[in-house]
Amino acid sequence: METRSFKVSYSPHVHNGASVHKIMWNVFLALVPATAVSVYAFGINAVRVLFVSTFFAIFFEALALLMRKRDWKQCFDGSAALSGLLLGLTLPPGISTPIIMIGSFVAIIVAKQVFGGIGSNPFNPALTGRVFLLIAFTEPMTTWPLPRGIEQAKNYLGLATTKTADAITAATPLAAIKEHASKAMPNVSLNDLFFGLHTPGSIGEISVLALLIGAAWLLYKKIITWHIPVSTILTVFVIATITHFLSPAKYPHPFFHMFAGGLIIGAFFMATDYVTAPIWPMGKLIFGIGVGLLTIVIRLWGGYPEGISFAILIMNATTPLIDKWTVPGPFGSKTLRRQS
Amino acid sequence: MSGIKSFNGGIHPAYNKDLTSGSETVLMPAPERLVVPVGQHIGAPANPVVKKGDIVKLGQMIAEPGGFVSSPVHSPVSGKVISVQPEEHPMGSRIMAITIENDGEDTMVEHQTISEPLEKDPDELKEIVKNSGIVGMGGATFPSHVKLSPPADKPIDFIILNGAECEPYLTADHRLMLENPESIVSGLEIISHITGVKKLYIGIEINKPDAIKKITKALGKKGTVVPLAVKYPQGAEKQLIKAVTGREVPPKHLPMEVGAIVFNVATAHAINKAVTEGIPLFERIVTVTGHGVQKPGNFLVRTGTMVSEVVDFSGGYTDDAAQLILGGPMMGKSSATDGVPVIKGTGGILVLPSAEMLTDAWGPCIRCGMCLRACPNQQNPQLLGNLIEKGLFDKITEDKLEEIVLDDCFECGSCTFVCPANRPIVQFFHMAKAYFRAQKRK
Amino acid sequence: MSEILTAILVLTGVGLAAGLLLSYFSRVFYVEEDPRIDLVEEALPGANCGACGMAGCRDYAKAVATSQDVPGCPVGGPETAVKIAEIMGSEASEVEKMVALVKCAGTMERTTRRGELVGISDCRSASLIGGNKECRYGCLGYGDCMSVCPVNAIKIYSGNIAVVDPDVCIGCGLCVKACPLGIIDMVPASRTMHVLCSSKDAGAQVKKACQVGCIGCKICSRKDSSFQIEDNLAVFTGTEGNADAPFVCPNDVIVDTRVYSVLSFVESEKAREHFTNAKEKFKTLEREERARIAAEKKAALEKAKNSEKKDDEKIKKSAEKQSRED
Repeated sequence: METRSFKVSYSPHVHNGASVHKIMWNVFLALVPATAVSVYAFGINAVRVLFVSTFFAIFFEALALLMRKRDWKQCFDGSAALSGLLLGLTLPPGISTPIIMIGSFVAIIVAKQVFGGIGSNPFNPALTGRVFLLIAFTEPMTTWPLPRGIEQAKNYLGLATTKTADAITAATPLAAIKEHASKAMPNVSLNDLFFGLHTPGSIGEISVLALLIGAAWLLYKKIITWHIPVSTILTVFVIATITHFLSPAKYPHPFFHMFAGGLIIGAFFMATDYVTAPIWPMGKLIFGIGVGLLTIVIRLWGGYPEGISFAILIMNATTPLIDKWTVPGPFGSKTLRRQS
Repeated sequence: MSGIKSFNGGIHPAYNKDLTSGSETVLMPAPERLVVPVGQHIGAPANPVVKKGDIVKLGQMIAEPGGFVSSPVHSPVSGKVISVQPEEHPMGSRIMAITIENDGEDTMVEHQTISEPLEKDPDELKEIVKNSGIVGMGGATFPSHVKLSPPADKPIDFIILNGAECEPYLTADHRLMLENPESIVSGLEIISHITGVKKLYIGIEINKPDAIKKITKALGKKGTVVPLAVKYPQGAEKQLIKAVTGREVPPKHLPMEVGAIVFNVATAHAINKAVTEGIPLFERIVTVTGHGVQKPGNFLVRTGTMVSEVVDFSGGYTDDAAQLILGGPMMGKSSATDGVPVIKGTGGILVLPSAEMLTDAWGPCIRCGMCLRACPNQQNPQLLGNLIEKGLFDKITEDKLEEIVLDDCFECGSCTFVCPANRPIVQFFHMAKAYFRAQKRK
Repeated sequence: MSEILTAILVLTGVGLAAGLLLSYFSRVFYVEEDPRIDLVEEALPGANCGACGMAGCRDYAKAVATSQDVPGCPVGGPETAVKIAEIMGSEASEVEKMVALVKCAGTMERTTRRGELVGISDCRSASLIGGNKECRYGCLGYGDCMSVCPVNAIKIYSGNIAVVDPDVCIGCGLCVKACPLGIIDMVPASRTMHVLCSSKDAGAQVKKACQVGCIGCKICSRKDSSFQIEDNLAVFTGTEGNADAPFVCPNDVIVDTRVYSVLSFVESEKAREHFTNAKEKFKTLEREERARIAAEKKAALEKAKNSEKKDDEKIKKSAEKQSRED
């Protein structure tokens, strides 16, 4: 009998077709509404920031891969581009190009490749880059040009705006609250915060609506689970509610805390980063509560107006520990417990 | 959906069952020469009791059990023994096999038929099952008489027949349920008689409504048909018990710990045949399928028939046939050659064309957690996979992960199926199991 | 100015205080350690390979200093053993320098392949799904041994086969443990003849699978009693074999390292060609020799016959003589 020779491989011999590439592209897609809003609001400046941060993230990734003697084409797997885009989305629109490049460098080289590239970084690369810039270049990182709609902006918060060389700038809502905490509560329209066309802020964080559309896409595609965003936002909401009702004059409305600043983009797009967040549902809940707590504590009582970046980075450090503590019992362990 | 039962985790692969689920089982004539391995079951291999030149009859025992957890092997044809020597085995090693030249007569060995098995002594029936070489035909090939002899301190509440057939592509059990429902039910009754258990269930995935109908009709009031959600691995023993009874078998324990015994429907059929007709296990339904064969179908094949002969009989390979898998695509074993015999556990011959082969390179773990959600054992394949990849076996021992995770993993492949980084997690686990086995031996 | 001075003074003060404290505590909490440990560690090769079964050279040195029966360092060999014995003031135990040997010469061209492995990158996985060669004892060539070798003495060559460089090998034995097929052996470095095959299959199966497999024919053992056949496989147990032994092997399994290095014998076509020629020559010589011996024997036989005849005649004559005398 004639026999035939075949190719041999390990089981299973079928796959559902998921790939890292596809996941990254889906997150990209989820960020499209927010990016579109920011481009509409800030114009060409937003395009410049996002392009520079993304391009240099890919560039540095390729460079690092070459230096580590890996296949440099891996830089197109989408993870570096996503880190770059997320970094760009957390920057103020007026920031100068060299600073963005430094941010991309820190995000990709220092925060990611030094630890062994994709999958091995303990801290969220984009946020590491952003926090580095915030500390190193505090002034440009806290200068917020106003989005279009200058007419409304003139009355924005009833606060003074500053004219710099090329734009009119003002404080972000959170910074305004911080600055004026002792005085009268500034009047901010929740509508403005929700649609995001009239308030200054980081490129990607201004429109809550656009971000929520993207988040819905991620949840629908099962790329993220609900645990981290929901627990983060709920924690912020609960504490903001309590403080607001204890002292309405001093602490703003809880919805203000939910819509202002980077809570939404942080909770849905940064804290859910696979590599740096816990892996089990229970751990995710703990992680989210931690992020929410730290965020609101920094916002209300800390030195910075916004705390989500620090909160996520601090909680990133606890991820291995949380992972170790929250391993659920395997299948059937319930029965064992009942027996004993 | 209410009423449709299942378990946590699991995956939804493309089932591709319509390739063969409509084609009736075709009897394949025994070939001229059969190679019957003595190891067709889990446990000690059987010891050959014939030698070169012996004349054997159809159904004659040609190898006796090598221990309690072992099973005899019977001649699938009548004819002459040509050789007794190690031959290529489907599991990829060379083990002792008995080659028989078929005389084409099919002269049956002396055997007894029992028309009213339920009036016989249970122990006598158990002895028949044992002597007929019946093993679990779902693929694990665990000797059935061992399952029928639970220790006295483990009361058994349920007997569950497994008609889930959750492996994609395979339809052997499906066809059997359509074509022989009475025999399956009769086998279930015999099992019930032997063990004295009265709560009988047959679990069938709801993608086989015709089978559910036939079995329900045949079963009548003797037991319950449980419709199961279409999910892989629904047919895994512990997951099936969870779905049917709600009980979870603890890690490192057998199903009898929670009072359940599971048999495949094909095993029940084989038990019925052995008891009522006196025919030992030497043939089974094999699904020949995949886009690498010309005409997919289901065939009743004698054990010892070469895979190449079965495929030839079905209509041959297509030109771009690239991979031969014995079993289903999730847990089946990829074979380098088709010069291996069909054994008792071979439920399917799946041939994939080169276009359907998985060739993507794998990358580092990104901790997405998809494997955790897919794992039917609620384990963490991610962590252990990473440790094995880096060779940190000491760390695994330190954290007792090999006890907690490895020992219980039955390599269903769900984690690897969903991994976006294409990580060969099953391969890692298989490797680590081999490592720790070797370690233990030392 | 005064600020700078204050800073310098404060820093100096703190530094001094800390230094004093540290030196004080290092005295108070000093752990008495056997000075021989350092000496022994220095005498060791320092590869930290773990071949002795301990976590590193320091651990081994500690073990040597504290207990009597510690097996010799397999890497350092006799010289190290002597040095350690000097330090410890005891008798040096016999340690023979060993090197690793991959007992397979079945390159891809010389073996029958089975299937084609897809998505496999290490020997252990490959061995679990049946390997890539018809022979179950054939080197898989994915380099599990190469990756554990602390001194890079093992390389995978073009024929998908691992070869150990005996000059670089320190004999730690880690590769022996890493090989899932168990085809790497530790052999004395002084040994000059090796059987490059591990197949315990029956002859017919070996022939089917490989051109250079040992079929257990026992011809070599007739030439040199140091070859022993166990489980269809020849094993060389001596040190220096009969130089003719490689030539009598029908499948060219035996290598004489006085003539060819293992690497060239496995890899180099040239060396193989040279070997084939030498074997041809040897065979011709042997045939001539045999013919000569046969001729000699024949001649001797002839001679014996003739002498027998003479003897017969003598006996006859003497008999006749006797009968006449009678």
